[in-house]
Amino acid sequence: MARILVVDDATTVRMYYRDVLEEAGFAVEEAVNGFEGLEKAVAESFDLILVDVNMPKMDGYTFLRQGRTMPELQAVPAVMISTESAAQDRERAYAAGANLYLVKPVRPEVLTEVATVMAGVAP
Amino acid sequence: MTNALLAQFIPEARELLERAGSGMLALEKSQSAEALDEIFRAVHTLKGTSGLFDIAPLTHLVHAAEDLLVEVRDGKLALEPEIVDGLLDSLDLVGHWIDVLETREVLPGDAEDAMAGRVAALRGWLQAGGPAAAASTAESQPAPDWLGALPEAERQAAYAAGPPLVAWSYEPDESCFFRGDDPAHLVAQAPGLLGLRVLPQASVPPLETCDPVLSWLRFEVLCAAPVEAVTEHLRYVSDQVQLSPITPGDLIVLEGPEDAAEVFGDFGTRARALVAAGARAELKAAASALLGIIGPATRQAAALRWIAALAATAAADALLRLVCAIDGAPPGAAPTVPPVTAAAAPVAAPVSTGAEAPLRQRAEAILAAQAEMLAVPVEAAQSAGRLESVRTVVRRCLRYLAPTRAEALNAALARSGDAAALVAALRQAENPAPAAATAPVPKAAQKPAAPAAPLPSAPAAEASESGAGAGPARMLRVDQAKVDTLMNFAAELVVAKNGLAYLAGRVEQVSGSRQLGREIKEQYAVIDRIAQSLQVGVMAIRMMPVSQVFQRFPRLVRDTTRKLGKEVELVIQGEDTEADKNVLESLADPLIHMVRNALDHGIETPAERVAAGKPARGTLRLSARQENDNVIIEVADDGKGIDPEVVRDKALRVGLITPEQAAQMAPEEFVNLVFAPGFSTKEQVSDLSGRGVGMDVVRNAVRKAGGDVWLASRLGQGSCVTVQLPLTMAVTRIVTVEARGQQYGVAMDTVAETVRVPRGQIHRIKQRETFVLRDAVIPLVRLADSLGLGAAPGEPPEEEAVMVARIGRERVGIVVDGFRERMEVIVRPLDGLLAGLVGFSGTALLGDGRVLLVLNLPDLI
Repeated sequence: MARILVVDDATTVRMYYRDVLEEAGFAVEEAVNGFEGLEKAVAESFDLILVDVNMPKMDGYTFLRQGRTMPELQAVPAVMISTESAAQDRERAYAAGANLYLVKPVRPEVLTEVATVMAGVAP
Repeated sequence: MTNALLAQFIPEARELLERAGSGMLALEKSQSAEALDEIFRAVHTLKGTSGLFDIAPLTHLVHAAEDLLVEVRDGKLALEPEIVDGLLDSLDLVGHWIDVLETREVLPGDAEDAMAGRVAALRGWLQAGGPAAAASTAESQPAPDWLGALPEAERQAAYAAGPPLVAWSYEPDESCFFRGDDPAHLVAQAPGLLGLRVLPQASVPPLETCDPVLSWLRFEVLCAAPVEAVTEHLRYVSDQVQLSPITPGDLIVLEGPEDAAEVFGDFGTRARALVAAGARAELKAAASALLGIIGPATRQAAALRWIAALAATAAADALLRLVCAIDGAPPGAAPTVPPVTAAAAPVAAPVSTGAEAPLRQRAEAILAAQAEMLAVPVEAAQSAGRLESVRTVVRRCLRYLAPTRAEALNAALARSGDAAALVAALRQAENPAPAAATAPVPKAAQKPAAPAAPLPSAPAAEASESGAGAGPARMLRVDQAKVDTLMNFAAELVVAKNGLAYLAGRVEQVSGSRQLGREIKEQYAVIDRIAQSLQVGVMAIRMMPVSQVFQRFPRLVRDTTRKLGKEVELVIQGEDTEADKNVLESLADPLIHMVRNALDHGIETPAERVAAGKPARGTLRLSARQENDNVIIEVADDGKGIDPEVVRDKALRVGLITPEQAAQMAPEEFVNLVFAPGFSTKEQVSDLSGRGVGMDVVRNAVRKAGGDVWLASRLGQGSCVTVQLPLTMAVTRIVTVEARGQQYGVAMDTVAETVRVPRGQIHRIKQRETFVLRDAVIPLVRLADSLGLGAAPGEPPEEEAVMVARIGRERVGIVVDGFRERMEVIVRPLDGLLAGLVGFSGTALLGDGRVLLVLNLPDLI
């Protein structure tokens, strides 16, 4: 079963991702900030990471930049999910190492399709 | 969205609002980047999360607040008190909406109007902050990802029309025809209609089950009109509409496959020179000429058409970005390409589209993002990892692609480390050949992602984090009724065990077996210990920090003082002190009353204060601490205090005290007359010099909760109201006393000590009996007299049993006929006919079934 790590400080948002992704057959793990995200991503392996931008302790950019230098994490596809749609925000995400940039709120079918394609393993 | 998700959102939203609100007040005190960051993050998170629900007005309002905060954070806007007022006011409204959401699951009907007013006010400050501010606001509005699918000519017409522009999508409710709606007419009548696309909704059922009289339409519309006008036009279907104001720049979406022909390099060089020279007409001619020799379907052709259309009017940088899109020269400056556009989605696609089509489109969009990502410069440390992640993504996309495309990409992947080859292969967009993708499609993707019902398997608890109480604690949300029930059982158990002690006595009396009696007592001790631990444990659940009550005061003080034109510094101390939830709730209203009084009547205006030689800024101190089984709350101000003379005259005038009583009273006793019921109701005390408006209400509320309240004041220096409340209201420890053969209960926390006083040591001072206890003169009260039980028969005893009680800050000796056992009971308030009885706090059921009257000493004495 494909495993997805969700990194977001908002409980409701994590719960939403979990609801949608579990319904589609994925296993979901949660982290509340970039720091906890890195800890979890190193301890267990994931097929896909969804990460928020603005989080306390460690934001999404730092999380991604750090992850791309770590052997355990560098090849794991990552989707950055933000509330901003401006081009420079997207470029910042790409520069940090995001493979895809989505704008909140992500509709359930988009989330499912993205996860299905990017997590690689059939859910 | 599911109710479970909404139920999760509501407390989270409240917490975020609370954080933002208190941060705002902290910020007003002292500008700190940290506080601002905290507010910003709270508001930002609230905006992002609210987007999950169908509550657009709330999201818009929070968005406007966030935009304003961005300006403040970037130093473009000073945080004036009026702006704080506006932000707080908006947060209040959001808080109100959250309350409504909790009960009704939808926003109130007037939300849209209320939002528009607030947003206009917030945006007003933004405008004042300069044109740059306004631009950034518009830019941060999310543009819908379907814009690119609108016909290019319509988008160019809209670009020419310029702002204001609104893009909206409308999915009429499936039963709209039955409700008399006419979606097509509504759309056709939209103000400033420029572009329109009609297509089936994403989830149309298969033909054989599709009900032809239901609506499955989706409209995608572009209007050149102010957002308010469009909102107004769509007000009856606002729940079915997604609306976003857009900038003309959002309209430039380039669709179509990449054309790798050499000619574009030459054009790019020339076009840049023409733009630099301002030769717009020649630029237009060059673009038109090139259009004549290349196919019309490519991305470059689209860019050329935009250049041709805009050459005369657009800004240079917009044109340069289009040129870059054509020759791909400098990376990182490409025009907007939606990350997840349904690439070239066919207009009105056949209903029978299989599930593989969306996934193939999704995979293509993801691949496009990989190309775009690789074009963004990256630091050396990340570059290897990033390429590796791209290779992973491309590999995973392969199975969803058309076979030829997959092969090409696979070949590029094989040349590992060659990023350029990969980018080139990625840019070779999808071969528009047969949609007969043979890739396996995961089963789960075939059904539309239904709103998921099951709760997450892991508890939705925040991980507890270190750091000065900043992180949320690991919490369990429990219905309060459950805890109350548990508390009642625990209390019943504590009381029921008292029956065992009584039983042990009976066993000794009746059967004469001391052994059996002792064993019962031993067992009693065990049960007693467990019952007490249980009670303490359950009580701890209901304990809450006083901060729960105090937290509303910074705001209250701020608002009240601004209204009164006073300057007051609020100091809060001991907010970590804990007390029972019910006790704190009973405290909330009296406390507001006291704080208002202190601000209104206690603290003077800055001018008065300066005249009196005090600092212009007054201080109001709210403090809490625990003393024995009580929590002590103090509200102290450094205002003008209360004149005891004035209070005395007033009390004499209204007949509250007799001149004889007045002669015996100390100045502080006069001051405490403000709590008397007759005092404040007849005439407002505010015209005297102190407080008193409704202070009897305060005292009643506090006494009802088993506590007491008193006041100390120094004329010209300030007043301090002290409230003493029991830590918990559930179980009361009492001692039983006897008077004239009757037993009464007295709460232990009012009893300081019990002493025996020889008759000879009782003196009369001013017609009152007193005795001396360790150098303090303590007045004596005979319980039998107070209860009106009549004189004792026979000679008075040589020694009086005296119970020294704390009443407020004073100690009073209460003469009783004797002390009996101590126990824990549940005090039930008197009700029915007896409810009006003064001097009793209630009744308690004893272990042997008798009913005991429990005295309320402050009332009685």
